Amino acid sequence: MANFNIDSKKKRTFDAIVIGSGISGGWAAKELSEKGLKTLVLERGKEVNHGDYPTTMMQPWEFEHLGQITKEMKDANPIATKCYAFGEDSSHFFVKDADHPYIQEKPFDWIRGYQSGGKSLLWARGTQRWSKYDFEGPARDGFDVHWPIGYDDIAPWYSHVEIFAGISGNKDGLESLPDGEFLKPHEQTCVEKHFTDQMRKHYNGARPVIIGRCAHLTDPQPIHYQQGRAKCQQRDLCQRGCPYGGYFSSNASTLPWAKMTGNMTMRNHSVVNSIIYDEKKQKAVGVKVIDAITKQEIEYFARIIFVNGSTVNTNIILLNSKSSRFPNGLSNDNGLMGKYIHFHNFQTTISGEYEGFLDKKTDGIRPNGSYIPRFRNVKKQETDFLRGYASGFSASRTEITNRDGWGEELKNNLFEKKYGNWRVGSHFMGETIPKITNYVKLDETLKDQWGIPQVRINVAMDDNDAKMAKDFREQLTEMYTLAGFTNIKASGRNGWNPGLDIHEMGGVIMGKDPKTSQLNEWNQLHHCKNVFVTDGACMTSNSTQNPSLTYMALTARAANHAVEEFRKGNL
Amino acid sequence: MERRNVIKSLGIGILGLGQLPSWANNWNSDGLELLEFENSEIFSKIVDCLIPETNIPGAKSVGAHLYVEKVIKDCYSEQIQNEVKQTLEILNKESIAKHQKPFEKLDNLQAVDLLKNNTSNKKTVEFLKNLTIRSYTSSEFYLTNHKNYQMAPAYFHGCVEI
Repeated sequence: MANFNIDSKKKRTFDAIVIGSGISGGWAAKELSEKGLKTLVLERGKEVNHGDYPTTMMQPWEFEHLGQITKEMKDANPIATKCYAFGEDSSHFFVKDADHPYIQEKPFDWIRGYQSGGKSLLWARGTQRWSKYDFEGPARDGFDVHWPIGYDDIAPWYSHVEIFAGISGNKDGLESLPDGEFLKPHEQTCVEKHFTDQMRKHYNGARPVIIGRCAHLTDPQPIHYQQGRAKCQQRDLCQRGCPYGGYFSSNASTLPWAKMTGNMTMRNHSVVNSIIYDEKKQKAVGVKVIDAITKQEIEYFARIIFVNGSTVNTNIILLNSKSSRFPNGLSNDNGLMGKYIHFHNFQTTISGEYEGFLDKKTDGIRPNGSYIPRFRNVKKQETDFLRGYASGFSASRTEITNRDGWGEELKNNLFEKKYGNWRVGSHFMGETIPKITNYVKLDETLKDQWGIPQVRINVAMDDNDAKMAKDFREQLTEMYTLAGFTNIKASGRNGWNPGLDIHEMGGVIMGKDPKTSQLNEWNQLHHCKNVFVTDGACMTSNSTQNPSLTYMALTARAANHAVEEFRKGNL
Repeated sequence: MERRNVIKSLGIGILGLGQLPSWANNWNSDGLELLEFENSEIFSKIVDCLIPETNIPGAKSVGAHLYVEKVIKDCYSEQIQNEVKQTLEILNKESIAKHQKPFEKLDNLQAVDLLKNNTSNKKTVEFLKNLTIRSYTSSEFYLTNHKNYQMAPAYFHGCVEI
């Protein structure tokens, strides 16, 4: 590796380069190398091979601080430590604030994971398909760039990635949330089933409540065993990395698969500075990399380039890819690159209790919850706010720890077996409108330690987001009340900023018209067709589903198109 | 000398527990020298009197005193650390005034009595009690014997009879 920079250009030339090895980059690597293309995967972070999960087998009592984050860690990382998955068992998979500074023009909690597999080790694993309404809906209200594709274009690719990744779920037959290729579903709890039944009764089927669809191997198939993965052991310790490959990550699935083809080369510690554009060929010819450790500059060359750096980093790379043809960033003729950043609004929650089923409890562990698909503004505009929201829903019952008393009395109390009421709760996942005023751009002077301009992030919520959150609190309060829940408390989440949803999207959006978008229907840059963007940056709008499954499907679709065009000599 | 006793005490009172938490075993004397609290023995007495040894292990057997001291030092603000220090000093003073010996030399009933009746530092005493409970209820002994804890159950049933 040390001699890489003196190797011949030929040795640094591949058929394809994939920037980033997270959930979408892993898919690009798999599809391209499986189809026979010599593929280089550039990952800016450290090497984490499947199984390199240092805390994964640790028992709760083995953690020095029983899972609590130290004061030193918290003080040094005020942003990263806000993430729900950041703990004593997982902190090594998160970017530390001081190493990777950025400028918050408005508060934005940018959560990052720089290693092989990226944040696919840390994601929440919810995998709901978009429906045709999600693609077509935004066109109704005028605050949109039209999607260049619809559900029928992506449906076969959802199936393609679902079968390989392994998605558990129930075939619910919902128009607003299409069924997929499911492994057997997790079970709802008594009170979740009760809520499902009550909602069916009260809303005549208009507000279904289902078990969440998630990327866990509940019933592994031969394709999963071939990847070296096994049945999910239902530990719910996913953020540590899973030694069984029980949930989908690049590390457990796509990256080892790509490696098995013999066509993939992975290079860690490779910070991409920019994409190299050749004015004569009128296309991109390679990528300029800074070695994260030695800070040496190295160039790699390929006919196809996939940019999967995660939303904000993909924007940075493209904006920093300046040439005399593209002085404002690669293919950025309309000047809109970096604008229309959007995300999901998680800024409110609701909780309650249920005093029924007191002779029942749950047993075992479920790394999943129930889910309330969007029921607002699905087919037509019905409210005083635009778009809609999905919600989580979980009901569980845990033993109460009786902390009363002192000495032997306290000790006896701690061994009491006593259950409280069932506890129920929902989180809110609201669609935000892509706006030109929500943007990322490069700072003109400040650079990071690799000489790459720091990013300025200016993303905020608006009145529509507040109205929608209010509607969530009202509607869920009504639904909880109808189900007989008590002690209902709906509240905002203090200190929750955009970004903490880790669903940031946009900036390099897909669209039909090069005047208003950056990418065509195959995720190719309009003015530089051999560069593909298939991570969150490509998303034209965000609807209400956890986005990763859609990134995976778009990536597989674009990669297969890229291979076809490559074979035809068009790239 | 007292610190050595802490290390020695790791070896006793394990009563069918198997072993202490590995994080406690991994400590070495260098690490212990860094601790800011002058009197580690007082933490032993606090956790021991709160959740005493009976026919089953108590808080000291599961290493709660080591956890309480470490978590306060590593995870809490200077202000809270100072409040804990003050509380320990006051407990010690009260102990000497009432029983003519330091807190850590009291028997468990005397010690618990001082904790219970401490009004000026109620919040801090409650905090120490909660940390002790947290350590005890996160211990291998408690989780495996009482909670039927399984790291990898590989199943989930949503509705079973209690």
